[in-house]
Order: sequence, then C-alpha cells, then structure tokens
Amino acid sequence: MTALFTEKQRQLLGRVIFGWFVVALLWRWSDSAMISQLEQPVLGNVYKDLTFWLFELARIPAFVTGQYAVALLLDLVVTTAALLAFLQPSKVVYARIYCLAILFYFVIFTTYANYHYRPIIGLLVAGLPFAFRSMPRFGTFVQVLRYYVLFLYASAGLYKVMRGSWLNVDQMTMIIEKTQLDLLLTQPDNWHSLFYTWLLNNEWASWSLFVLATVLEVSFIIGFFTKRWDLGLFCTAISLHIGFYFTMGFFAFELIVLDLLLLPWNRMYTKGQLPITSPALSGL
Amino acid sequence: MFNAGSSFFSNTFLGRVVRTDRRVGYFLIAFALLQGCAQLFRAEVTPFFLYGMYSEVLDPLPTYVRTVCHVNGQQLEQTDLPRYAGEFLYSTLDRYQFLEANEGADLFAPFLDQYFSWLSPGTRADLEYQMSFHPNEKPAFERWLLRYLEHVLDEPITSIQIDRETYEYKELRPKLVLRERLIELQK
Repeated sequence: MTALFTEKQRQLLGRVIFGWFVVALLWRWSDSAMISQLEQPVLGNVYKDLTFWLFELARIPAFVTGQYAVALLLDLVVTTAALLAFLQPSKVVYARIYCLAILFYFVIFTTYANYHYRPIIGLLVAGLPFAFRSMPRFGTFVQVLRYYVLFLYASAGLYKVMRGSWLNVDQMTMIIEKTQLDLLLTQPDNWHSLFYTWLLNNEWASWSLFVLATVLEVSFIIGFFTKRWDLGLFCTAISLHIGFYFTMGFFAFELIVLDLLLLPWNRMYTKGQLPITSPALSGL
Repeated sequence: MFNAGSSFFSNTFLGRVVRTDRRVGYFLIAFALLQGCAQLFRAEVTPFFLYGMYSEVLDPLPTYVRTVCHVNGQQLEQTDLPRYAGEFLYSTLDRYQFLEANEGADLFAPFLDQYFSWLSPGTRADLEYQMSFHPNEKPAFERWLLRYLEHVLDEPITSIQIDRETYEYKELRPKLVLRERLIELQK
C-alpha cells in the first residue's frame, strides 16, 4: 500500500495551483483579456472543435458577450472562485464553481480570440482534482492529470516522428519565417531578431534544436512506466518551455501549471503526518 | 490468453481504479477511449487535447502575409499592446484578412461535408451559416474594432486603417511585395 496525500499536502498543492490561476487571471484582467473587456466582439471562430460548436449552436458566446452584466458576472465568478479556492483549498465548492466558470471563459474567449490557443487548457483541467471531497478520489485525479501531462508532451513528440517533420531540415526555419515575420520587420536589431536571423542562417543549428525538442518530448513516455524520473521530466518540461520561448517566442504560462503535477507533492510534510491511503491506488 | 490480458489490465493504474472506484474507473476509460478516437480522427473536442506543436511538415512558402494596423495615423504593432490584448487583436485581424482573401468562405463547409455527410444538406447549410462570418457583418466588426482599440489604448480614436502586406524572404530578410487596404475608418 502506498501513501497518497495528506490533508496538509492537498492544501499545499491547492494553494500552489489556485495561486497560479489567480496570477494568470489577474494578468488577463490587466491585459484587457477578460470577457467583459472584449467590448462585445462580433468575429469569432469555433474551429473544428465540437465542444465549441455546441456552445455556438446554443448561442452562449453571443449571449454572454452581448450583455455586459453577464460577461462581468462570469469574470467575477471565475476570479473570485479561484481566489477563494486559493484561500480555502479544502472547500470543494469553490473549486467546483471555478471549474465550471473557467470552461465557459475558455470556450468564449478562445472563440473570439480567433486563435485556438490550446495551452489555456491548463487553467481548465488543473483544478479538477480539487472538485472532489474524497481524498482517495482526489489522489486518483491527481494521478490522472499526471498521465495527461505525460500524454501531452509524448503525443507532441510522437506526432513529429509519425508525420516526419523531425526529418524535415527546413522545419525550424519555416516556423521562424512564418511566426516571426512581424518581429524581423519591426525590430530587426533586437537580440531575439538577431538570434532568429542566426538560426535562419544556420539551418543545421535550427534543425538540431527541433530534433532535440522532439527527443525530449518523446522521452515523456518513460513516465508511463515509472515515477522515478518525474523530477527529471519536470525539468525537461520547463526546459522545453524555455526553448519554445527562445526559438518561437512562445511562452505558455497557463500550461506550465500542469507540469507542477510532476513534482513529488505527496512526499512533502511527511514527518508526523498520517497519509490518507487507499488500497485502490496501491502502487501509484 | 484472455486471463493474461485481464491480469495485465488489473495491474495497471486504470485497472486498480476500476477495481476500487468503479464509477471513476469507467469514467476514465470512457475519457481515454474518446481521447483515442479524437486522436485517430484528428478531431478537436475540448478537453480532449491535441498538442501537435508544429508537428505537420512545413514546406517553404513563396510569400508570407501579415496584417498591419494604423491608429490615428500611427502604426500599432502587436508588441505595443499588453500581451493578451495584442494577441487577441492581431489574431482577430489575421482571421479577418483570411476571410477577406477567401471572399468570406470559411473552413466549415468542407469539414462538414467530410465528417458530417450523414446530415441532410439543409442541416449542413444551416450549421455552416450559423458558425460563419458574413460580409454584411463587416460594419458591426468595424464598430467593434473602434470600441476595442479605444478601450485598450485608453484614448479617443479618429482613424483606423487595416492593411494586408505580403512579403517574400530574400537573402533571409523579408521584403514587401504587396500592400492592400482592407479597412479604412474615419470617425
């Protein structure tokens, strides 16, 4: 039988996760990216995402953005719920309200952002374990999220292998030409532009970085067989995010919160604490 | 052989959850199956997550397009705005210029025809109409652009111009090939 989480560990993890959400939401408030700050947008895109279709067919995005009071209420509910869950992580009601409200925020914002910004999904799923009062169930969902994180990275690497993009010597330079056009034009002497220009000039270097990213992503498969390398996988995930920032100018603050689930939270505060165990999850 | 498979499953994480918390176990199996199907058909159904991260093979393109916004006669770069506001504004303008270049035609008709051919043509047409942007909504879009920019920049706006610029890379440097005016707004 293996220990899962104590109440104290759950509270610590809850504070870290919901604290992260609060920072992410305050950042969005200050950047005018909450629903009530979008000024009733009219051009949206539901992509090929069937969940977005359901919302659109029920006319939810237009209803919420069309009524300032409703939009403001949604923004306040999602922010207040995150804040209260941060202050009182043992109260599941705040986590439940947050999870429901952030789903609406996620779909509505992403629809009108006209850009399927996937990393925001971290804000959506990382709060789920805290919606369960039962400690064994909480532990199960933390483990599920750990597998989810492993799947995210491993599948991103496997896609590159199966589609053959990792063998495409032009891949990284094409990504830079496609995504960094604005920066190369407007700030050609900026250090980041100079770095991109160097990568464009040295195709072998940019391709090597792409292959390295693929290998690092595929390495997350290890986590499906053992937890021994979780700390290493956490460092790998953070390295990938730093690499994405330098090579693509892309920083997924909302996704990094999921990486935190690779850390050994159930080994903290173990002195003098009786962990709540579950024979169901022995061997986790 | 069946016993071996069953014994293997019961020793996995999912097997242990099914044994001890049946409801959650079946929920997780359903989730994993749906995620697998989504992966197989490359369908996006939030929260079943497809994280490709530029995994599709990219070939060199002859030209690249960017959208340029001028406010009160000054060029407004994405980096002039706070991060999320800049991304929000420019991804919206990029989609507008995409729709304009394709005469309003969106992605939905071919997708519906490919994966939802079992629906009647009338239903498919209704779905496509509801999810698409229509040229008669352009004035509403322009009014929104004015409102949003006034809100984000926190200043009165008298004019907005939106251009599409086409570039090609020559000696690894982008060179302007064509500039077209998409929106000209005077207050």
